[in-house]
Amino acid sequence: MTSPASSSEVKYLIESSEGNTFDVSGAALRQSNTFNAMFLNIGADGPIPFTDYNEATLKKVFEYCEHSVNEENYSGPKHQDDLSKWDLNFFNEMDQKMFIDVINASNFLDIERLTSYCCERIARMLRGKNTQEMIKVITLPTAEELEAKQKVEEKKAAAAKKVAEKAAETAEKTETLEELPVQQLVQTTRNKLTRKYLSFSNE
Amino acid sequence: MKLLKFPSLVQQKIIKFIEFDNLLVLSFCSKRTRYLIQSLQRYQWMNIKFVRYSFEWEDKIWVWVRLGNKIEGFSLSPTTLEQSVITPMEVFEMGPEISICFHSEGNYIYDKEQKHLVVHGIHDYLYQFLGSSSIDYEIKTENELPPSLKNINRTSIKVPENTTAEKLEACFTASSNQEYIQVDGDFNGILSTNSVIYGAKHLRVILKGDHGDEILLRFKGNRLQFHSTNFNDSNISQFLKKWKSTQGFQNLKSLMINSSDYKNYDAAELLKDMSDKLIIQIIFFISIGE
Repeated sequence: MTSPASSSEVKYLIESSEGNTFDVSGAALRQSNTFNAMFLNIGADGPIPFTDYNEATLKKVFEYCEHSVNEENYSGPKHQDDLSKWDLNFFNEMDQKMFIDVINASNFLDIERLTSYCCERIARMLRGKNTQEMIKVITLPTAEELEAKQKVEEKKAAAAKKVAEKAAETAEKTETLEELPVQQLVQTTRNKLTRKYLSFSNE
Repeated sequence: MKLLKFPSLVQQKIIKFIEFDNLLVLSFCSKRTRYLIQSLQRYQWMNIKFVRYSFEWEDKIWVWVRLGNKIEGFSLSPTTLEQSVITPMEVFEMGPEISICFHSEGNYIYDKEQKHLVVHGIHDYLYQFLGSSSIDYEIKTENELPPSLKNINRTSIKVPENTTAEKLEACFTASSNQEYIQVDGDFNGILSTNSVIYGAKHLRVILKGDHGDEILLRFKGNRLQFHSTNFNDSNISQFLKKWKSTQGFQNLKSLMINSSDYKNYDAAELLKDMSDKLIIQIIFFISIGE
């Protein structure tokens, strides 16, 4: 299926979290430093499992890689104003969830160009905003949410404490139960020895 | 989009792309964002050369941060008639009792009645946020006396009219050991007898007056520069004799007197026997006045 003597014609099979597989060109894959480090020299025997990411995300990431195959070597991030129409469309057609998944996948695959463009895009989303607006963009919990979360955590801690106390109580009981035969044994032995002693003395 | 949930490398890249003024606003969002920025930017901020509070005309204040070869900053404008009402925001960890709020990218508005409180609040925040290790905190004014801030390394003041020696001295109360002080403007050259200004390592005086002698004789630092200042010739000679003979001014490494008035100093005679001292330079720029 795959060959270490990679050329742009070589196709690799990629496996997504759904277990689906699809083709990606060697040239596109080589933009991923993770791929280069893991498979470039040894080749892959069968589909390459990138199973932390779904098919749609991986396809989007490799769509970008396929497109930028012929671009000059990466030399730092481009200013967003210098992005091509294709690049802009690529970013604009993603919803927020897909965008986040693409960043995470691109980060894992270590595709420097795409990760940088995505990060710069987020930085631009924050530009010129005030505190409240920024909180919305980066989805920070509000004071009420934090309070609610703290209450939940306190409840959890209280429940955990109760469980721990119960467990300790049970352990104590078990210990007592376990100790009982030993005490009995000691007593029995003592009785036996006493009897023996008495009988010996009587003799 | 949950910034705090991204992997660290992604967070680092995002933060790297955010300009300083926007990063500050992000730091106001929560303690976690502030710690995140501080931990990710720690190495980057080692390259900060200075943080400068520049007090300009009409109560406008600029805060400049020089990071490597880049200078970034933000401004603070006083309220205007059109924007006379401020809804205080909790920026720079200042409570609602201090009237300052975010206005637009890189700009805040504040109540000028609280000018010094605002500057104190900003300086305290930046000092804690950016750290202190190698950063010079500086003050520069155009025509006013600045508030006395702690941990200031360099100050350049254009003294306004009718400033007394005591008022000028009060600007240095919280930071008395400064690397560099420059005094300019309507400065008559009269300082308090034990002024901390004499203790600056490098003092630059732009003084169109006749009180240079007193400063020259009381200076305790190692670099002194005068511009447009007049001296009594006998005091210059007395000073140089002391300096040459190691009887005084042992810290002084460099003296520069840039006089606009014609003086017929015999430089060769004055500088005789100076070569065996730890003196880097002594320059007399003596030009012919009109």
